Amino acid sequence: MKLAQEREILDILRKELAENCIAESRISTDRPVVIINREALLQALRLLVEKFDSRFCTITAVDNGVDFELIYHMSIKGLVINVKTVVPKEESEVASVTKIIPGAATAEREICDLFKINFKGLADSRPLIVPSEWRDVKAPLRKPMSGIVAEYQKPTVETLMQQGQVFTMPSSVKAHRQKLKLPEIQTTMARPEALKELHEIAEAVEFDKRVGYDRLKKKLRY
Amino acid sequence: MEFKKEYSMFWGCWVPSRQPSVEAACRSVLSRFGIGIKDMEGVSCCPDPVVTERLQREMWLALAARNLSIAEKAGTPMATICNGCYETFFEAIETLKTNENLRGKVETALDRIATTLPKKTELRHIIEILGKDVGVEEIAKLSSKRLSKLNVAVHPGCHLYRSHSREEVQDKPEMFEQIVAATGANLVDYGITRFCCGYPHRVVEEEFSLRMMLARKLQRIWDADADCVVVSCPACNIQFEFGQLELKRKYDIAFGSGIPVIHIVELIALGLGIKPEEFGLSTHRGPTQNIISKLE
Repeated sequence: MKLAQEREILDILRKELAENCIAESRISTDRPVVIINREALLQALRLLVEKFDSRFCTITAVDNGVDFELIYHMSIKGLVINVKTVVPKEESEVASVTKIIPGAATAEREICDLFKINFKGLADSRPLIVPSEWRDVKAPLRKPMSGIVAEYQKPTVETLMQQGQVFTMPSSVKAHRQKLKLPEIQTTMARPEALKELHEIAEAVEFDKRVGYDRLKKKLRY
Repeated sequence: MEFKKEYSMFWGCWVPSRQPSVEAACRSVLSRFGIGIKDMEGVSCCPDPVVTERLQREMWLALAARNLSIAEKAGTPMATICNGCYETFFEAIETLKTNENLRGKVETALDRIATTLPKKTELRHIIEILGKDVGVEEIAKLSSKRLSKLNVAVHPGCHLYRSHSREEVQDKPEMFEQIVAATGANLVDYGITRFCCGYPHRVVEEEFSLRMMLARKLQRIWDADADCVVVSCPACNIQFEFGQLELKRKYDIAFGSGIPVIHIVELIALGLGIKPEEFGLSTHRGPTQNIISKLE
């Protein structure tokens, strides 16, 4: 496939998916990767199938500890585009693409067997390669929910993200400080606008993502 | 008020939240010597050079750079009272100078909060302020004879050895000993001054940290007849104080009623004649009676 055609496909994906197209990268010079929001998966694959007559090769599933990565390998006249999406482990669910690509059923069933990811809308979800009694008990390739933060590091990371400091101040120390007439502290603990800056930085360098921190719940996901 | 020198004080996490007596003593001592301090507004954890730096250097460096920028905007050098914070800022300043890739990432992150990279922030450990700006002669001149019966074991802590060159490695630890001597207290030689207190290992393997590191050090200090340990780092302070409680509770290892531990600024405060209650010496979790009973 010529470079111009590859560029046309990627341009259309970017345009149609808009903000649901999160990032792009390349495995090699001729293997583009488009990372999309999970919600836009069907839209992206429908576009590739209906507009570019794309052929489905397979799906790769990767367990990253806190999230799964699903990589849909789509071939268009010799060009393979990887459409990648992330599935949070807490949910472990993604839309089945079998309405667009019936042949994807085998791959989805296999991933369901091995990783316990539910493909919503998959008509035949019987186990494919594991015994049926394993279905709700065992998924051989699914790791426990875990991230890069070790157990002993968790309090440091959570307190840093919650208040910008790694120790809370006990009431006894507050009382001592008052008695000693020490000034009010001026740190991120007492300055919400400063803590917001810390969160902005964390987002910019993708610290939350790297350590698996849930900003809404204010704790690590594992 | 006219100051001999003025600093943006980075208090860190430990001192304000756990050791108010260290902060109170530091404020009194520096004021007595004509050194001004400005509390830094909106600073975060340095962040810690053990956990955060290992998890993601970009985050660690960007937060350190933000803190350094706050000092730079204030127009005064930055001072720390903690070896860990000193380690972070020392390393951050060097990394920002030498690692173009990381510097670029940090610059982009700081841009989101409308902050620029720190360019020329000066960093001083409290030992350097006391040893250079104040001077050991001045400390000796203003110190009373109150500490002449107090035997002190010095624990500089690992990060105090941080320096720009091999020749400077001993500068701050030696300065630390000179300052202690200037207070009039008696330095005891217990042979393993440089041995780590075990604090960084504590969270990973507690028994190793307490029995193999801390207890060994305390035994030598005890055998050398020291009345107390003097530190320049709040994390070492916590390890010595809480560690002794844990050694007794979990392993039945005790050194009399406990060896007191104080920060260098507290020792100087006592030497200057500042009363223990004025800076809250009794707020320590460990015993302090051995110190008070030895004051002249």
